[in-house]
Amino acid sequence: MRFDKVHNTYRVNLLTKGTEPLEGEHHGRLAIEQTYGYMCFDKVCYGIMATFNAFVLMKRQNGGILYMSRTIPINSTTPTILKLLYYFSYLCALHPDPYPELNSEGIPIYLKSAPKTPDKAPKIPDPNYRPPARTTTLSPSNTEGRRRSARLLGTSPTTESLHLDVANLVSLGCKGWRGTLTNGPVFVKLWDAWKFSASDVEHEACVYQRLSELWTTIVPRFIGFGQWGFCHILLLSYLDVIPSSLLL
Amino acid sequence: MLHQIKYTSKVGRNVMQAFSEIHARGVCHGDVRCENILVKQDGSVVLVDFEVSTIDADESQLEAEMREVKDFLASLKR
Repeated sequence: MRFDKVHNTYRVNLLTKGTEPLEGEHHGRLAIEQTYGYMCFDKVCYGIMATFNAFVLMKRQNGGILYMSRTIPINSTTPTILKLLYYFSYLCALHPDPYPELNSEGIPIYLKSAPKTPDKAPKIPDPNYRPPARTTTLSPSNTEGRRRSARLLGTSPTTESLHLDVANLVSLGCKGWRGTLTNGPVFVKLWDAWKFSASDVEHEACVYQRLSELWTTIVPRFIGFGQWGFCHILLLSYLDVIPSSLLL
Repeated sequence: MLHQIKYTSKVGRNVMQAFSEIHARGVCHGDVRCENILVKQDGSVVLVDFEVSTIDADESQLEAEMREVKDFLASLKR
């Protein structure tokens, strides 16, 4: 593999410029800000942000500009992650000198470390502290059997918000979780949004709608579906059942 | 022992009935296996996980699935 070949193939679409609103709920923004902070502190031009199954390549430019690549899944083949990292390390090698962030007058900005005095140190967590319950908003079921996107459900005048206490989810294996809505326990099915599209969830929601006459008798009652962070969620009524495999 | 046989037979009937009901509404489950067929304490059956299911399935799909259900029930009796 040669640098120039990799460079010529991917230089066009590797780095793209974008903006992200500073307000509103965006679960990736804090991670980006944190990584950008490290890049400024370390005076480096390039950075990498990685999740369990994806990479984002980042480039800093003075004036507070951050360029980010698209999210690249680890199983990417065009190009492969190995090729991307190879090319990225080549870019890093082109900029070995410190690259401090400058203010509007061209003067380097220095980040100040927190004082190392005991009163400024993080406090030992209170073992009795109960974190406030985090909630997520989902679209409730509707009585029509048509297939709809989550966006359409969310804007429907008949929808209302459901608040799921995601802090107390208990894994039941595979995609299944036991959660709590305001009116009691629910079965929560979570899909990793990196691997599954929203249409998978919509399809299953649509099937449950079709089977609405059988809710609570032959299929669980469908409550709603939606999005939480990087997960798609489907909510069903919680039933006290066992898998039929236990009968074998 | 007799009680267990009766219970298993009841579950088997309920499994057949459950699949008949969803087939009557044009839904082919598509993933017949133990983990997706849940049993309540009273022997009634709940079907879950319709990820790969088909809506408005044709007759051949439904018949093929019914054969799968029968194979599944045969495994229960063994």
